[in-house]
Amino acid sequence: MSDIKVVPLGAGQDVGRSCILLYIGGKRIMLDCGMHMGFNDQRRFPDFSYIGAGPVTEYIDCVIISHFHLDHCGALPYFTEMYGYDGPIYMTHPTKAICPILLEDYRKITVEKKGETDFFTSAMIKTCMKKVVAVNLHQTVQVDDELEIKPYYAGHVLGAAMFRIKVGSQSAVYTGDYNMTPDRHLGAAWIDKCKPDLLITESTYATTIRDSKRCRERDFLLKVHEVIEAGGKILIPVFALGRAQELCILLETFWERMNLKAPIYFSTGLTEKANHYYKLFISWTNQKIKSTFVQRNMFEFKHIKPFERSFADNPGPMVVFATPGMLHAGLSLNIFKKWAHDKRNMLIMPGYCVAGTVGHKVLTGQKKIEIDKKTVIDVQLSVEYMSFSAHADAKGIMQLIRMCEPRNVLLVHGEEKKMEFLKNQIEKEFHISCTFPANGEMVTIETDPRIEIDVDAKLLAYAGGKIKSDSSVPKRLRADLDGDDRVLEGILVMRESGMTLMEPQQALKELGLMEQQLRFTTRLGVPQSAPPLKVLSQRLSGMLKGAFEDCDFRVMPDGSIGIASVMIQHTQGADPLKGEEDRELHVSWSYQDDDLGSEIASCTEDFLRTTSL
Amino acid sequence: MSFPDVLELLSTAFDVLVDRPDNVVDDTCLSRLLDWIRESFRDSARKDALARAARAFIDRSASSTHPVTLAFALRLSASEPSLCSATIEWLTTSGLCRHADARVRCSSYETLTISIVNHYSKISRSGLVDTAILGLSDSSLFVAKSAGEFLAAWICSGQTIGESQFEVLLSNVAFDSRKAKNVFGMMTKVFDLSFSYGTRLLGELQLLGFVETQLRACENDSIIQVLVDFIVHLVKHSKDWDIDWTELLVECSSSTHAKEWLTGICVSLLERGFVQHFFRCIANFSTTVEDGLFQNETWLSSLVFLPVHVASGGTQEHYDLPTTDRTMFTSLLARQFETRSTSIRTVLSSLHSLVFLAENRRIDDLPSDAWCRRLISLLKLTCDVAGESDHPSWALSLVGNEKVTMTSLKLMQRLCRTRELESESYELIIDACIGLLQLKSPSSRRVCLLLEILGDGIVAHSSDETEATASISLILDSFLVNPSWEVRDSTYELVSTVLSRTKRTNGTPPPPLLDVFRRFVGPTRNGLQDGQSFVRSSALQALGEIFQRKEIYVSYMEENSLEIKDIVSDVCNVLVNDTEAFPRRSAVQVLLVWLDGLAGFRDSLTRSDSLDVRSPILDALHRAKDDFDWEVKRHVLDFWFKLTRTESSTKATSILERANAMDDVIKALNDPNRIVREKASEIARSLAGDDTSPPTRIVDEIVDKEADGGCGGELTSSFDADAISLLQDLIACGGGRSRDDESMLLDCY
Repeated sequence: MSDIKVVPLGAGQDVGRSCILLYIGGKRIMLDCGMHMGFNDQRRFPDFSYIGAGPVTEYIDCVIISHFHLDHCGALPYFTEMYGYDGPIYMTHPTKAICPILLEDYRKITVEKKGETDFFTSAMIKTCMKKVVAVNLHQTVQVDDELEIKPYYAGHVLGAAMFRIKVGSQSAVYTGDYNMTPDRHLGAAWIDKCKPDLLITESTYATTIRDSKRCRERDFLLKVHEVIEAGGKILIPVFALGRAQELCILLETFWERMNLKAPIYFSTGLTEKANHYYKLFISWTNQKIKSTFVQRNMFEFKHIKPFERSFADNPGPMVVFATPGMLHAGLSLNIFKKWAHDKRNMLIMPGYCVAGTVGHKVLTGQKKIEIDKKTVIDVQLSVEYMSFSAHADAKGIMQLIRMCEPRNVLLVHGEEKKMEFLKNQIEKEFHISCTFPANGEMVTIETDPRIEIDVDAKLLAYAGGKIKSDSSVPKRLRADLDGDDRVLEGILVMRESGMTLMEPQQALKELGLMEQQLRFTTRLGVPQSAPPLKVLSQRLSGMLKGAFEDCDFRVMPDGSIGIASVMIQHTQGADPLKGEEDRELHVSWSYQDDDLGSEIASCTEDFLRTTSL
Repeated sequence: MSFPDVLELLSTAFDVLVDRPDNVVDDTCLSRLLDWIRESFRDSARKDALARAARAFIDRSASSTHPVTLAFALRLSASEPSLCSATIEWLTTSGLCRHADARVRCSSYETLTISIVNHYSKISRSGLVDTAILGLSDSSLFVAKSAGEFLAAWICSGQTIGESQFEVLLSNVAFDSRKAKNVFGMMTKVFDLSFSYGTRLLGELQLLGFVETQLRACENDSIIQVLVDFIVHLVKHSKDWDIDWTELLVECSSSTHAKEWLTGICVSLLERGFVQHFFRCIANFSTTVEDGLFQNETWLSSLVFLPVHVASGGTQEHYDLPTTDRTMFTSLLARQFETRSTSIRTVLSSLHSLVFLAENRRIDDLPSDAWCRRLISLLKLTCDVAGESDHPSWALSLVGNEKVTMTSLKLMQRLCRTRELESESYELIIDACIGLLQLKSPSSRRVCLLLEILGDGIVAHSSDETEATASISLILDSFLVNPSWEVRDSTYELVSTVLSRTKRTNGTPPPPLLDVFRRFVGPTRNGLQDGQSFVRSSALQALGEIFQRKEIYVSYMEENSLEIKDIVSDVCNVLVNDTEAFPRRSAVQVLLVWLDGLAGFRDSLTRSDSLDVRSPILDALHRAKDDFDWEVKRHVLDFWFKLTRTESSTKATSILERANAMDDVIKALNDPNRIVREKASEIARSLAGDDTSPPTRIVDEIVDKEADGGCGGELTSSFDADAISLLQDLIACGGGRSRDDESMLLDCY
């Protein structure tokens, strides 16, 4: 059990459905349970048959979902309601609140487009979400007696979290998707120096140092402004929650500053819904939003209004945020059909589009798009792709490694070549091993089940170690025992902050305890044939004095004999049943003098036997 | 677009794959394209032309070094046997099965698998079988699985595997869990394909002896799991596959009698502390007691129950297990109860296996009141409400263990649902649920499960016991204001479940429970204002059920001076104003069930003198035709369909016209959503019917649609349309914009 094993069922050397099996300390944990939106058959879900042939709940101790994006949670209702997993599922409160919205959106599109019946239903989404245990940031959750998990803030999207997983002395951190730089509405990811045995990190931008977000924002606003000034319309297809809110804040501020009058619309219902969740989980947003929340809620937009279908035919410029984000159905596609022929208009795609969708076609520059037999869209409007993705870049990934100081790193959610480059960088800079398994490839991470214990300086000096100062932690000394395997004896004091080995007296002092003496006593019966006790005691004293001449020897006034901490006393009483005298010697000694005490007891026993003869 | 045009697109896409494979960044596109090609090969009119294009591409790919091109070419050749001929040579000479890229290795084995029938002699000579045997240890599970599938197909095609190959096959299996999984996965596949070859292989490899040795000696839990999976698979299919165990067990040390041999292995597993696998074996063997290998060995399910029996204070003497076995198993299990972790693991494994048995209806051999009492006793212990009881001291380690509690509850739920219990058992279950629901701050997950079990109990057992009902009433009242939405939701679900299930069986909830539900009408109406949409939806469904029971709602209506129109108005209000689709869908569904379930409701919709009910419904349904949610729109059409389907087309048309719904149906024929269009079309067709004077407008619409080539003007073949779309995307990617595409792919969601 000293190894940690990892098998990505998804997200191994690719950016698709994230699903990673982690075997740690005898526990099996599924990290994320995502779907691949590019497929429309069973391949969209991870191949769960790799988990084992029996009931899956027996083989998986818990499922952890990092955030609400479908490539991280899209297969969850399938896994629980159709594949049969019935164990605990953990995610943060915002993720639990928002997940069902995205799952339902996706379900509707899937069932509508393909008429699929072998897909989870709305009722299944609800049943699945009812099984989820929502957790708070930095809350240590005890999954069972041995397994504990703890979420940390990950930025990226509302409610995204990194999780530390700990079983005994082994630990791993799974990042999900994260962002090390704050954006308009979210803060930067943060984790403490938890020194996990393994860090499983996303590596989407493994080789990229991303240009300043300000530049991208400026570029976006400039283009919007140009089109609006020229009387054109702008369509921005988005997913209901996430990047849309960031862009809304950006446009709202710009409209305010520039005193623009052109209307901005957002699909009806979604603005309210998004607002509701951002208000509810305001503590998950960035510092600026939190601090200004009392004066003005940044999500109550002055310029952004709910959209009604008839507005699409209104003359004049406007900006519309519409779902779905890939232009494959619904309102965004309807508006696109109406506006595509006009050169003055613009389509801004702020996110990923799966191959085969209208969004993907437009982005790849196709000018004639056949929607159905009657509808061929002549694409005249200008198309812009603007990435506002909130993933950590190479610098951010290195920063996270520096932050938590892992002993090993495993890269997922990225491309092979880029991962290889980043692996070399990590190994070079941090001198730790780094791997990036492909899907289905099991990686074994050897762990050193070492438990860190602080040792009292006096105790170390006693053991003869050379003591140096530790540059990494102020006021801490590091002992060099020259590679010797020496046994240090002391009292192990366990506190929440860690463990310390102390000298007994020091431990008693710190813990405010009195020292207790532990004594062993053995009772030796004196045979009836033996001489009277007084005589016996004198003979015994003479024998012991000779045998233990190096020890502190004394005879007490009552005839008791003392040798170091060992005491020999005699007792005398009547045995009413036998009508005889019952005589005994009691030999007692302290725990520290166990060897001496045992030896004296043995000598006394021999003495009694010979005396009686 | 004609097929030759599609072929031209395909050729251009092939060019992109050979010349600019770096630009093809999305492999889902390629996988879906292969699906289309495979399907198209089935069409004899297309097969030859498609094969020519494919062969040309495969020839060109042979010189490529790019894994995307190589993998696609290999998988393409695997899609049609006639394409494999050249590929086999290529595979033999180029060592693609050992390529650095897993996609290429995986595709190589896929090609080999499909080539066996036509090219077995080439494969046999090529040494690729040896390579595939080594492939079972591949670092990629996917490659190893592909290699295993090839070997299974190879063996089942009648080909032999030499002794030295067997040695390689089984080498390291005792130490390498991954290889063990792949080798036994392959064996299982052989059995699934052809049990006669499977049995032959089992004999040739003397595999049962190997399995026995490992199960008795191996310490690796993952390897034990693999071997147990394999044995369980054999036992479950033993009768179908006509396995001659005596012959196969000749090499085994312990016994040649199957049942004895298998039981011996189980005992060994238990002795060595592999409790989870022990119970899994026993539970699976137990599924064959009717007519399989373990016929009439009903004690097996009792054995699975033993830890629960003992943990809950049961004694050996009162246990239904043959005395000798009982003593042996009890003493072996007692060893597992010596430490906290093994005690918990043993009870949990037993419970998991019991859930499995309950799902397979194999629990019937146990008397219901016995398991019921024991399970409840265990639950009380884990929830720390057992008080003074007979639980053994080791069982105290189960106190507060939520996993044991939840698994016990799941078992109770499965038992309630899969077998008919004695009346007394239901009473015990209901009382236990009430007791556990009254505990302070249990997890919401536990409460939801308890409410489900309580619902099952109430439906199955009509009790007049007023004390229990009073408690239920108090519990439900408190749960309706519980801060957890899951608990509120389950509370409403309990009401609707009980009412709808008793309705289905033409039953009536007992009078005291009817009293509870009477008090529930007001709170259920309040539930329509809940902040959580799932809860609003469940409250609506509960309301829908309540208002099909006059005995429940009448007194409430009288006390509050309400009329049906007020309730209808509540439902319509949700349909029109709720911001979430889930409650809006439920609102239409409630109206739908009321068509048959609420007395006079259907009539009031067709009569012009009941405007107070009719107009808010018609208004709400009319507005819902433009709902953003297509399922709401479909349910509205379901409503019109159900309202008119028993009428003649003339009468149906007249009903729809009077309801101003005809225009809505006609509009729905052009809805952007396919399912909505289909439903509208169904109504339209039913209206056209065989009436002598069909309504002109609707018939005209249908004729128009059919002239357009189907409802909604879709492509004649969406199958081809999808492929064309993918090909266009591939070609467009190949044309450049690679930087954008790359960042777009990375910018995932």
